[in-house]
Amino acid sequence: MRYLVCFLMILFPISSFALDVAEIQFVKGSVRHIYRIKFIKEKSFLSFKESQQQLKIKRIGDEVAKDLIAEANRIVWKSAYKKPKLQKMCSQYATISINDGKSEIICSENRLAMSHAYGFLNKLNDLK
Amino acid sequence: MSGRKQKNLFADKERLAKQDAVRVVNEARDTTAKKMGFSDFDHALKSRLKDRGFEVNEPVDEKTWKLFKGEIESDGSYDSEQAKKIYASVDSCYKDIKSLEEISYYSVTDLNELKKIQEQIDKTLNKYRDRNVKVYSNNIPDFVSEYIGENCKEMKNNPEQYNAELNPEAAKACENFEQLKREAVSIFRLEGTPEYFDKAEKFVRENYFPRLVSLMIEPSKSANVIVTDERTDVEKARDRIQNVLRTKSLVCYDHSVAIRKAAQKVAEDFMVEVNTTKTTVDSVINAFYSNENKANVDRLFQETKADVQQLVFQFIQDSKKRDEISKGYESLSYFWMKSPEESSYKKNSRGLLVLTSDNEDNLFGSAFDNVVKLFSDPRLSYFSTTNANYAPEIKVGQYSQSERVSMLPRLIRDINESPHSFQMVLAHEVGHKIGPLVSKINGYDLRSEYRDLLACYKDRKSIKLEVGQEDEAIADYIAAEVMARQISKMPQEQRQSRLVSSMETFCRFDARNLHTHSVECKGSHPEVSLRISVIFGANPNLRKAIGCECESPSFKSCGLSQIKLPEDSQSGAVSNGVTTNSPRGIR
Repeated sequence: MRYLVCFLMILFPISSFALDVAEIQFVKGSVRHIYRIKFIKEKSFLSFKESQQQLKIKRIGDEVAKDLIAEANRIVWKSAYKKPKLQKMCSQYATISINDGKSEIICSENRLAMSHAYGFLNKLNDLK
Repeated sequence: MSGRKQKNLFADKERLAKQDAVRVVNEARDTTAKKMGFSDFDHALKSRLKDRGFEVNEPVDEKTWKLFKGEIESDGSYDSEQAKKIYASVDSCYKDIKSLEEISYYSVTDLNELKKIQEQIDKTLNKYRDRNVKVYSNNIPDFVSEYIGENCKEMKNNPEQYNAELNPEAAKACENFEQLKREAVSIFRLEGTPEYFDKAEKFVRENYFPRLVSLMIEPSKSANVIVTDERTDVEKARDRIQNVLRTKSLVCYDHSVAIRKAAQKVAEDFMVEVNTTKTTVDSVINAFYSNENKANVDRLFQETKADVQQLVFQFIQDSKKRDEISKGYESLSYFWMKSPEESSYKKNSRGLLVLTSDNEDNLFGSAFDNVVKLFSDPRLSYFSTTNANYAPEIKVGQYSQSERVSMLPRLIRDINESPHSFQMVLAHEVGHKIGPLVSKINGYDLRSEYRDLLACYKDRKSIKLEVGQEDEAIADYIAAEVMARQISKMPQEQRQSRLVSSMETFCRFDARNLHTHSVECKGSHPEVSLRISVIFGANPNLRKAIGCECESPSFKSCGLSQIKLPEDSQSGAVSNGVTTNSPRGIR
């Protein structure tokens, strides 16, 4: 059955024709899922790649793209700044990076961030 | 029925099943909302939004409201009227701006009158600036990272266009960005405390700056321009008014963007609050994980395991592997969600019991089995997604999670209506335990046993198996063999319909793609249509079970020839290797 796996990484190549604003990566077992929110020729796209398979790309509304990036950013903040007091380790659940920022690791032990990331990944999966 | 009509039928079924899951969640949330003193969850959510400064239109556009709550899926398109449809202040912004458009200022020559007009415009713009400050107070992450961060990047990347002289407030914020962010983080960590809002509003008010002003040689090309040549006072006053009015439509756009993102955050946080109360948790779990459903799942699970164990004894020659696998299947369990203990809850400020993650046991584990985490998802997507999985044993330090199959709640809820389809999915997941890669992980490497079968699947007349799809293809194959065994026990006249009903979940997956225009590419699973037509449709034993005398006319038949239907096993028919029959002809 389908696994939901996403990493969020944001790439921001200055001279690139296509602008990757957000990238979400999730790895489970040997399967790696990568979602990217891209701007190409002032249009917004959601791309999805699973392991070594072909890229899948879909046009989305610009405001939809902005809302997705905003939600990804909220997850990053939950992950980075609302760690549980008892958290002593980090099992990587997903990685999110936005707009040239460093990659934020979403830890399984951070309930708020991980749960939100889980729901967000399901949302991206439905959207793709 | 035509292929398209069939797909529409399954697409409708999928949609109705999702609506049913959403209804269960909504009913649970309604119960909690009533305990909080509201008539239902919608009333509670609108009230929370209103408290935070986001007044919702009444009546609100139903579809837009459902989209906002995440009850229906977005298709990726954006309705530019969306924010107007929900939020009263966005609607009133457009009305206020429209009235500014009606101001006739260009023919005014009296400086005092022009100043009054400027004041009227400033009053309107300040009203929305003030509203934006209140809105962003609810959403520090977006205010800092998106609003300030993006504007600072714009200034840095276009210094000739946006200089500090024209944008002093922005320049100051950008210069002190790191310190500003540290302050923002400490305020963010106060969310939920009484002191949060005052501090947040003060912070946003101090650091909110207007839209960047650009310096351009040709003012007509810019939205927000300062002209620097010599003009009379009246002309300058008119220019200022013109300048501001050029950006008037952006005022409402900026407001709608701010409100949209902040309201989404407020809704997310509120949903987590409601989702994690005991009334919601118990209500949702009872609806999906009832005793009746458990009895059905248990029966099908034991039946499926028994069938797979029989297959294992047929095709695995190595007795040590066979015994280890068989023993493993004896202890293989499935995940069944139970209502958490009282100790998992603590009382919140409203006196409601709410799940807590302060318990160390809740720190470990993936989203697939941890109740606290699953209910902390604002969308409760675990309960509205169709999916299933197999997980091998996991050990991390002193914590361990036993090997298990998880059938997600939507599938469990459908068990009475579609038991055969449920069993097919169950067989697939149970089959994962003996897949090529998973068997290696589990310590009884079966890759050599599957070599020829996988080579058969790689054929272009089969599913054109790609690297990375092996485990999924074998799981489907095991499910097909289990289906064949189940079907062969039935009276002949019921077998075909049994097969069709078993494939329903796949057909619903295939139908989900009916209305998309995206390019379908293969992932870790083979394409759905090939799974149905080839792995199942061309499986020799399955075809035989439903009374097909010949192989598939369109696809290559692939199977492990050691695996026989019970009636054939009894007759003593045995052969070695893989059954690989070429299609007799393409239809």
